Amino acid sequence: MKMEVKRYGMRWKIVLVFMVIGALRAKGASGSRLLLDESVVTYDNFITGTEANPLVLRTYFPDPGLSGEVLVNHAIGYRSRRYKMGEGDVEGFADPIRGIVAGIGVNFGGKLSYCWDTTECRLLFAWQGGFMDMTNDWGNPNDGRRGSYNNVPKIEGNLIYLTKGSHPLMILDEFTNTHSPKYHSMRLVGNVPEFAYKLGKAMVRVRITPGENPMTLVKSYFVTGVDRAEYHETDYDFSLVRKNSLEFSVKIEGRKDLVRADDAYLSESIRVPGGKIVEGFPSGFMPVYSLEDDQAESLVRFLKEEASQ
Amino acid sequence: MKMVISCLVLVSAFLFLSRTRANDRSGNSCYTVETVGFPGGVPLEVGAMGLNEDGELVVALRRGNILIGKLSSDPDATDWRVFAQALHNACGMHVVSRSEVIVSQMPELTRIVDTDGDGQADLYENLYSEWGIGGNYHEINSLVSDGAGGYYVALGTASYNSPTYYHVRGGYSKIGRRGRNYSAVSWKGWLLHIDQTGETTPWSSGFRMQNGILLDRDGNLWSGDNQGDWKGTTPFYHLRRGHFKGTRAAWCGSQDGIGRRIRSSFRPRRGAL
Repeated sequence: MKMEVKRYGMRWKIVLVFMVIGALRAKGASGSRLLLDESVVTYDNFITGTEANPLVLRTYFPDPGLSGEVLVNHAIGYRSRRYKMGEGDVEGFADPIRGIVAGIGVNFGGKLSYCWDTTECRLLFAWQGGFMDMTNDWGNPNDGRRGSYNNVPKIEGNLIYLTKGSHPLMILDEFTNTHSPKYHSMRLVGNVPEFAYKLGKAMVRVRITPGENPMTLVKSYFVTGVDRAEYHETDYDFSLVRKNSLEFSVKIEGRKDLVRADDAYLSESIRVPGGKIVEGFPSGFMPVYSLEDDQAESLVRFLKEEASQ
Repeated sequence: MKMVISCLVLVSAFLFLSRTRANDRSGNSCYTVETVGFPGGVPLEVGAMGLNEDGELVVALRRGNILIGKLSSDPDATDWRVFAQALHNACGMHVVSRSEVIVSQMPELTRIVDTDGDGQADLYENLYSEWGIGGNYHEINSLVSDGAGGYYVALGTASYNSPTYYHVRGGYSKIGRRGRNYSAVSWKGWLLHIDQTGETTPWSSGFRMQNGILLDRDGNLWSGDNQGDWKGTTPFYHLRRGHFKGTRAAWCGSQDGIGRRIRSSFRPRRGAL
């Protein structure tokens, strides 16, 4: 009983303590320390992780064009009559927007970001470059303003993988319905998330990491509870390295139509502009310049400086 | 003589009440104000908090972190450490121990454990995720332990001021989507009881946004609710099984199989508004 009384007293203390915290923050008077700050989220709406210490974020995600076949365990939202305070239903409609509701995002710095979905229990899409612009959801750091009728964060970088078709894992068991996975947990193994889900009698663990080459990623599977599991992938080249019938890794080659704009690419594009043409631009449009190596190098450096600003 | 005694009683009562009110105004007899520092640069957007057995303050923040603060008499000497990350707007928390916390976040009820004792959580286990989620910022929730290994989870409705998504979880109801605060997906505006085996019972309904839930020492459940449509003022509810609290959208939620089945077994009590 004494403990209970103490707890009730502490509840009031907590409320008041945080009123004071709020006042302190407003005055910017706090000198308190954060001892482990690697994974703390700040006012930075473009927060990223690193390859050694990836950032894991649970939030809403944009839908870059996923098909209904992928989102088979989701329901469809419809437009509704617009509502206005004081008037009720008014002319016009409130349309649904495209977003993912229960995903987990992981960022390994510039090498890889991805969105794994806890409803479908599968990798939905992956991209390279930055992570996300969280302003629509978290608000502008200066005035707190959020997206207008849009709370979906934006992807920063280039999409390299967008999943298609049915669930990629096949359990060779006639009683397993691979269309109804059940999310179980996320475990951080050496800072890298490993997702676990049930697929019929099987318990599946999967870890997704950057590949060695640009535009690649690796999915490592560990399956228990069944005799054998198979993997299939729609529209992307992949290589499967099997340790045994239930433990294997899949290296996926991302979009082939993407080219990394590194120094060599920029230099080639200046000297031989017809060598690679960006989709949507006419060929033979840019004149050919004859430049020395150091001149081309200077131009590339100038372009990179401009881009960084 | 009777008159004199009556006057004395009245004066005594007046003086007693005046004194009590004066004390209430100062608050000195009710609580102690303590000042706690907080690290600069970390948004103080608190969704939930609790205390662990070491007397440390455990705080869930909107952008995903759980921080633990070692309180000190010197506010500027408060040391904070990151316990957990990757939570979607956790607004309910039950601190089990210094290494385990249960939270209700936007998409699920989650058990968070530091399994290797390094001070940071490494296991995030999904205890329950059968309620709907439509993408609306207002669909937050809170929890309280039932004291027997289970939890009561209070699920708020969505707001007309923000959209739902084209792909949602937990069915979709066109009727439930109408109006100011709405329940387009399952169980928005409900209180669910999830026992330690995962068995779920719809407990009461008709809430707009509970903003917190409490189980007192005598086993009574209490919650707030937010003023707005169907709520002329901000009430404080004593919750009993079967009660309906007025926000009709809660009964229009998704019409998928599980929703229909459980609602059909739910018996609202008359006059329980």
